[in-house]
Amino acid sequence: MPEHIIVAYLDGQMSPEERVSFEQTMTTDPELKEAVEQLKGIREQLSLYQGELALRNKIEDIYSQLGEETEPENQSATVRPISLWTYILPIAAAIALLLWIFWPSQALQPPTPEQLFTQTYIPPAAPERMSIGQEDALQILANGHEAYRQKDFESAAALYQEIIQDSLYGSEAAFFQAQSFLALQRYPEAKSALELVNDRVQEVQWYRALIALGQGDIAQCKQLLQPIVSQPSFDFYQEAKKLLDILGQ
Amino acid sequence: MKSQDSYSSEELVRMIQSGPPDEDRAISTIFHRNQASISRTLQSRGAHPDQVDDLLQEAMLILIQKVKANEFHGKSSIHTFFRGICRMLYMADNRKNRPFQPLDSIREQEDDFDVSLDLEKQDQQRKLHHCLKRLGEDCRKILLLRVESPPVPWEELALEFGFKNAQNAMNKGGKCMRQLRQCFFH
Repeated sequence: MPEHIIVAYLDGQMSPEERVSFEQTMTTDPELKEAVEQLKGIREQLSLYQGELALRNKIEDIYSQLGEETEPENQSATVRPISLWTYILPIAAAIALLLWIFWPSQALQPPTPEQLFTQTYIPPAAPERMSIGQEDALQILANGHEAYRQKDFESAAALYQEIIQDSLYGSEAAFFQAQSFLALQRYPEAKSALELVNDRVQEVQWYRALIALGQGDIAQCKQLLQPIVSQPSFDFYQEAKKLLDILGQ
Repeated sequence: MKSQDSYSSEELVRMIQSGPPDEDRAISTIFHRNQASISRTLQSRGAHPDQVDDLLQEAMLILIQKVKANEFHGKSSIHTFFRGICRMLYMADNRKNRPFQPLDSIREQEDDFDVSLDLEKQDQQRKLHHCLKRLGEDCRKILLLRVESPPVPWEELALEFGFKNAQNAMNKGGKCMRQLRQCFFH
């Protein structure tokens, strides 16, 4: 039976006689009955869909615009840190530091904790590419490391967040999420992430000190550096000693 | 106006609840913050880029509806909530191809995001969305105009779409409905 006749039946556009005849046919024709049921279901779905149409269209428009914006935004995202944070501040900090160290009268002001942090903090390398098994968590960890290697710290942090509670990979995810936040200079989030790391004790100590430095809390930074400089075998012993020298024991 | 990504979760919720234009800015911000990482994750698991685009938009629709219905309780950030919806939609998709996967596993990490979805409804709506996309533009418009309340009369549709008369418009509507039914149920 043509579909428009079923539509007319569902729309209530049949005469009473046509309607009775249609319903009689339906009782003997299971295919027609099924078609009517299916069309009823689709019309209900269409009504729901219609109600959401304006919002759907808006979301689609915004999503499309996002795609168009991606390229220039990526460019600006790479240009901004190179022009300001990657070169100018570290170089300025280094010059100021050298002058401060070698100028006998120490006439120049010492570098600010922020400058010192920028100069001292180097994101550790992410582990080498790992062989991926079937586990979702491991896959996400690998994706996080890939984003981290590409210095897409925002995405890396989001990926690590997905598995931060994982019993196997959570600690590693937390460690590298902390590094991602440190690279973004988001210290409170870096600190929270480090609290979830249940190994790498020496590294965690060092990065906690750097977080304090980044936040301008020199006293806390010095306090956290003390255990490191008390043991020459400690990871980051040299770095901690140097930093303490600069900060003034 | 703040720059994107500088809005807190609470601000984004308020922006969505207040409607346009703040709502649009909130949508853009949430997409901006999450799109790259979610795309990367899903594509690395074998999802097609088109599937990812559809999924992200569907997830946003659900998020907006949940926030407006006060079904987002702030147990997680709105970004975590959004990623949770994406994850559930993706796993529900995959479940069709892996029927042995128990439903419970779709609700993984429930502590991280307070979302529960009517997966059957979402599934039906997404299927309908795909089927409507496959129909021509005229068919799509005619079918949607016919389910408006009240439905646009066939006479009006005949004029709008250039049919000779209401009967021809109705025949066309019937054909469109048959195509949609075939796509939807097969």
